[in-house]
Amino acid sequence: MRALLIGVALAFIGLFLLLPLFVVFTEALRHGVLPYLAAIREPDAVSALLLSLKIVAIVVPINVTFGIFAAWTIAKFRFPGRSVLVSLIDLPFAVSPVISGLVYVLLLGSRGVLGPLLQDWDIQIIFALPGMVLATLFVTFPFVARELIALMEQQGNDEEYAARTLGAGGLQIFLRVTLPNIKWALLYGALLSAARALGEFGAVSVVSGHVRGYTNTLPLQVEILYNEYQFQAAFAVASLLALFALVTLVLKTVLEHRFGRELKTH
Amino acid sequence: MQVAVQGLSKAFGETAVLHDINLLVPEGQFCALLGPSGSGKTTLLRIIAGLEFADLGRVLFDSTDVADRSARDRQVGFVFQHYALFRHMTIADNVAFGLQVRERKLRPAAPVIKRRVAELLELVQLADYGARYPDQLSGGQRQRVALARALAIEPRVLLLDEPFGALDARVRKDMRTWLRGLQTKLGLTSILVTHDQDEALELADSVAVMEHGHIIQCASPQAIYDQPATPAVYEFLGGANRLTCRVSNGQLFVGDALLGSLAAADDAAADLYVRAHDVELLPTAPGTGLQGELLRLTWGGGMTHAQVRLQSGDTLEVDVPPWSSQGHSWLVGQAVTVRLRRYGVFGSLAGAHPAAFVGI
Repeated sequence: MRALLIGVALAFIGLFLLLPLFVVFTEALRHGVLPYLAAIREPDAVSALLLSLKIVAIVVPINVTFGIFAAWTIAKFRFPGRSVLVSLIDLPFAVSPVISGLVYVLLLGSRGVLGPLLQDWDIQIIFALPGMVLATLFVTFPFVARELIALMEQQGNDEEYAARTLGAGGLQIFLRVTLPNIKWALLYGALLSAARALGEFGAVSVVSGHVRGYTNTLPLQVEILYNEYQFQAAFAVASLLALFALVTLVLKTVLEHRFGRELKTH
Repeated sequence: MQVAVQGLSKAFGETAVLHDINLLVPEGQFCALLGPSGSGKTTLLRIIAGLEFADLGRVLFDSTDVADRSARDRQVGFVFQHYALFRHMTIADNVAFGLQVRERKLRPAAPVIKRRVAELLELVQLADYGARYPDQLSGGQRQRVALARALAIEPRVLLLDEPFGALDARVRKDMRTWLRGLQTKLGLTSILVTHDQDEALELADSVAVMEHGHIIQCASPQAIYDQPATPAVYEFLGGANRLTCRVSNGQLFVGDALLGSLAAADDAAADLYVRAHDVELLPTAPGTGLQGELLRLTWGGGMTHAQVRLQSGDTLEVDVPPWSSQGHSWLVGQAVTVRLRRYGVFGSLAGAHPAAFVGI
């Protein structure tokens, strides 16, 4: 019975996770290494990679900052509306990313509620980088906050109170007591939100406008190449995403190992 | 330093947790706040520390009102029930924390801090543990580190919130003795919050018994034990038998039996409280005490616990020491006489509790 269960689990993982990964790399390298390198050096592919990295570089620090604020507020204080706030943080998980992208278009697009105002000021949000950052932020916000809330609630406030009676000021308490206690969870949350930001398709697709070489991220570029029957190039670009995913997986495992030990310390 | 609390009240939203609290802890004294959970004792301690703020009333350190000073500036040593050690710091760094966060011109030089930490770890008998982390220490050791950390800032008053609550019984007892020795040696004004009556009575110079946000009695441990101010204090200090009694013309009766004379009490029904070990169990001896019947006997190690049904209908718990039976054995169902050696009488008129105590 046990062997059967393990067998089923392994077969499932093999079929649905490992096989696709294998296919991505074999298809990418179908015509050899040189066409593969050519496909990922192609200017549109490079610009898509850079844009994706740029979005990650903007989104992750914002998520970290606001994630800390949100988690601190929710975990350390009791106030009216607290449970509503907790539910709101989970909202992006419940809403389809396409919908969230669409909301931004309806709100900020040229025919949107705030569109005319933005046009008067000559600010382009939809079909440009700011819109893509906003859409990605919406989708990735919960990762850091959720990681931190659980940990901070479990740790309680006593250490901060102790630091206060020992004469520490607010900033000292945060830097010397709170931050070291949450640093691994913070890194873990940041990693998850980076991975999600890199791979996000739906929300970004709606707000990007697919301007080749300008507003295409890696996943969007894969889609375009695939739709143009450039299968080998599509898989080559997809292999980049797969590589990032593998690196994330390794880092996540290392962190979980480390993070688990930190959590034991109470 | 002397700590005084005057007319202090505090409510959390609609719920009042402290009512007009007055408390005085003289320099160098050890005061225990004793009460059940929810009695407001921890809130009072946190207000003294500056971790909470009162709605009304004052907290005075010597003659200075500290109301507008935060915990950061009050220079109090606070010890938490669950230690609250900084989990990511070594023991030495924990103890050094209070010195290291001082602003530059008040901060001792690194070698001075190091020496001070070594002295404190020596004081709490953990000299070799400086390089370890909190999770590598036992509960008792962690609480000693917490104490060393609190003492590092040379506090003017030491505040202890159920410091031994998370420790097992034997360690708790050792820690108690050790803490009292240390406090006497340092001469440091200290306030302890506890729900353990033994702890309060053994450690403190004065005990303030709290219930529902009031201090119902504040006195020396001996006075608290011998002359509880209210039935609640009796109940809280290990419990007591309650007998209905009657005061008539200065005479005290339980049922029809005359117990003795009692001055300054009206003709009225009253409650008599007597602890199980203040009752003497005798073979029947007419005219010398209360008559009854032995209902049950339970052997309890040092003491035998007896239950006696009195003629008045009340049941009475009695502790019988092994040496008191003088060779004869008790039998369930036999007639017995009990003498009340020491008891308190509380009038029940109009909720007031004029108390009288009788000791023989």
